[in-house]
Amino acid sequence: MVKFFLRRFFSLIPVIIIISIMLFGIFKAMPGDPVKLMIPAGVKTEELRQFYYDTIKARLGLDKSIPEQYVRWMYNTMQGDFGISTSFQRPVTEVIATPLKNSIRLNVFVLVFSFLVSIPVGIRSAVKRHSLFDSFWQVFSLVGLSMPVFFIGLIFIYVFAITLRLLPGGGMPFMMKGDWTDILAWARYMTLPVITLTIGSLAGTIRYVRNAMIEIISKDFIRTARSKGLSEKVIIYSHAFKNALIPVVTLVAGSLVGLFGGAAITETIFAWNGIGYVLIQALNQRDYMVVLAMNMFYAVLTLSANIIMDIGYALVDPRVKLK
Amino acid sequence: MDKKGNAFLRTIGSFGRLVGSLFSFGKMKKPIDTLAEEAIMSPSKVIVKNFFRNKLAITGLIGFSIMLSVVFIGAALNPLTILSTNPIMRNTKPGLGYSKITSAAQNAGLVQISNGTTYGIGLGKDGDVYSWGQDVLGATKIPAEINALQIKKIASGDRHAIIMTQSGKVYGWGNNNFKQSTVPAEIEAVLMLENVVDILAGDQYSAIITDKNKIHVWGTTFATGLDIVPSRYQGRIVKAAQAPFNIILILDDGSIGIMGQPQTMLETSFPTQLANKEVTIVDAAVTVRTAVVVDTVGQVIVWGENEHGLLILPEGIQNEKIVSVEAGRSHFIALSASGKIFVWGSNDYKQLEIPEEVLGKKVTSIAANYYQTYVITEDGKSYGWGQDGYYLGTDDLGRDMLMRLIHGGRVTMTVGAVAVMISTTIGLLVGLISGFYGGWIDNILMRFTEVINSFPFLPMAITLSSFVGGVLTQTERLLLIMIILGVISWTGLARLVRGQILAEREKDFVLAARALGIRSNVIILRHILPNVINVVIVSMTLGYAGSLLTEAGLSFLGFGVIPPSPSWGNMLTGAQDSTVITFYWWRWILPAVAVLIAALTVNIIGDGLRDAMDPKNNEK
Repeated sequence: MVKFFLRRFFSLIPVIIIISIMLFGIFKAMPGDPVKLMIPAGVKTEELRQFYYDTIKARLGLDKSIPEQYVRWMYNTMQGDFGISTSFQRPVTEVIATPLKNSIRLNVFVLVFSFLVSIPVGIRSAVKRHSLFDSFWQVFSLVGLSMPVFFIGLIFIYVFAITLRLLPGGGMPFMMKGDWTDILAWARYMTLPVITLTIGSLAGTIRYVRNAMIEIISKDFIRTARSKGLSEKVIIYSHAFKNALIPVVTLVAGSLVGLFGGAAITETIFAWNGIGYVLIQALNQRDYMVVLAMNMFYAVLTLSANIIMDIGYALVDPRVKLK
Repeated sequence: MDKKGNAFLRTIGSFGRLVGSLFSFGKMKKPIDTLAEEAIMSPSKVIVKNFFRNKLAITGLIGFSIMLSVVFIGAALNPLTILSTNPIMRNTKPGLGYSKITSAAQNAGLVQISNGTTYGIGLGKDGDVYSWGQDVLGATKIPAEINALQIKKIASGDRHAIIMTQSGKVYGWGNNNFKQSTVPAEIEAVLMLENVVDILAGDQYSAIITDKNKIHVWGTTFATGLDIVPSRYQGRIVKAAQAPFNIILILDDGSIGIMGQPQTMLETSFPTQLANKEVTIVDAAVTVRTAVVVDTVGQVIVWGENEHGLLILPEGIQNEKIVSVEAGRSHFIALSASGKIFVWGSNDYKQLEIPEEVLGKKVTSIAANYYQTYVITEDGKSYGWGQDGYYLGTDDLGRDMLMRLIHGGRVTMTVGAVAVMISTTIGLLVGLISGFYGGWIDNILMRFTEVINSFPFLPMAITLSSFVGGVLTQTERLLLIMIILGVISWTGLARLVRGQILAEREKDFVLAARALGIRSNVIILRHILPNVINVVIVSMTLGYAGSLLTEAGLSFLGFGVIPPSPSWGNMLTGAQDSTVITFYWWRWILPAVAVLIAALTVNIIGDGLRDAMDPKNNEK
């Protein structure tokens, strides 16, 4: 297990290096000069502007050759220093720390809720195929899969924030008192984004669980279990679901990445100060260091999710041997 | 070489037949008994049969076809010029009948008509005000206390209306964003000394003319400076005509004064005969920057901006003695002493198409504003024509939502389709090569796939498309969006195809083909590809639904298709505003529903295809 983990980890290193070179290359190939934007507006004379330009450029290390810049950036990145955000004039790690926390806060709930709903629903749909229950959730997931996530968000804002005035239509909780009422405040602001993201992800997960279960139920060992006279409950939950867990593990790991990446739209609609929101702000500000760090974060997240997935396989399926 | 070419052609041919047969209804209707069916059905025919048995899939296919044809035929028939903006018609809700006078108003025998952007109001013989058309900001909802008054005159602005009572009091209703429908206190104070004789209402402003020959303007005058009346005119004004940025004044000596925005074409091309006061003017009307006046002998003079053919007088008008003129936004109407009417200018909204019934009758009164024209005939009947309305409303720049949905759909659907084609081509190629050749090629390609796959889809798409922004033309940008979407979304298919090929490669028929000495690229194309093409088609269809949604999401965030090119996604960009969500539902619900329906139908088709191709469904 440990050996597998280490091997898998080391096999990632070339992938990460390639990704970082590609990302760095893309960012260097981009039009626009962030240094020019950083010169204070009050600077009037040409010589002084040039002086500022050179100073800032040297401070950011942009006067070096591109390979040198890459090595420096990679070296710093590995030490947890992602550079300085041009628009915030602060280290990138500081800029994205709070949004990252906010995004995780949101996505943990979404992940938990969507699996709490989709696993039982998916199993029941698969067991009672073509029943009213199954049909309802089939239609739900088909519509959910086809629904633009911003539409779900806008409908919720319209119904709950504007018409019923029950919940805030966006933004972050403020004026924290530091007592239990904070939880209430967070809950109020988080409800709509969480529901929106959950519905968005439910559609896919229910389908996935259902298909996995149907696949398993049609297997011979289930027929054997039935012929042995086992109760349906035992068959489904003990025999079938254990086997259906393998695809579900894939799904958990996959949706983790999908959630972080796909939350950009939802976070924008609800003005939720998460990483997706910050990514868009940074892009609009041409704050490339933040965008670069963000993309690296996503890439590393995806790669680690793959490893977690492999380990998850081994945990749920004894046939899978980690070598 | 020849043989290889043939094999390729045959592969393409069989693929074509498969796709062709998917969309043909005729072939499947042949009555076949069960035994014969078992014997002669090729796999592709079984798929087609299964697909067309699935009612939901057929519904999806029909729905999608209708949508596709509406969008593409509609876009071809209505060129993009219709997308030009028209701020005065902004945020108009869906609805028709702007100039359809209600029977209640008709029965009341209207004596005066005035209209706003989407509605009209009329003053009946009984002294009551009637309204018709589509309401906008309460302009057609006449307050009950208004009808209790003795009304003498009515005037409607774009979204508000004011009235003047017999006793010279002024009241208003409708849009009051700039207090244009309430008389401000300072003007109330002036009215202690002066009496109102005339009223007029324009775009978000109102004005009164008093018996001291003074004009007082209120409402939004910041950009136009309409509230600053030049002292050389104040005290000499007898009549006025409103335009969005200017007011034309008829002075007590029959000459013309212009106030409001300075140095417009109204001033710079001011006719010399007016400047020299050779004629005495009795009536005037202005579109935006083109004016028409009538003098005491009934002669018509036009000047100003040469647009919509406004400066070209209609035939026969100079032979008639014209007594009054009115102006819409892009057209003029003139009434002669004998009751004949003349219309000229733009006919975009059929403002110039006089109804048959009016032609034979003597007209006693005319009215026009915006894109509607009204006349009252001798027998007391009123007629209105011109702009009828928007089926699906307008957006914040007054552009027709229906046209934008059609053109936006064309863009969204094309972007999605091309992106899917690109991703399918790459995915299929990588998967085929990787799966078939194996070894180090496989290793490299799969590493590469892993790298691409590690880029998160949406953030990467946003990042890449934000880089290409700015420097490109609209078309280039569209193309780049397609490429970006295609280039980052092929990894799933590549893995799928590779897996399929790995499974197929081990089968006996491939071994047999190899044993016969057939070259490997022939085996791939001719023997293996047809076996994985089903998976590819399903993935393409479902991928298409996905890229419709992705494009919409990207454009919604402002990183996809950027305005003025419409797309279903970027039509929603302004919809994050709570005002839009609350009051202008058509602006966010319609494009979102369009995306939903398109993606839904495509998903249904994809599901139907997948079910049809699932061998488990063929078990009897």
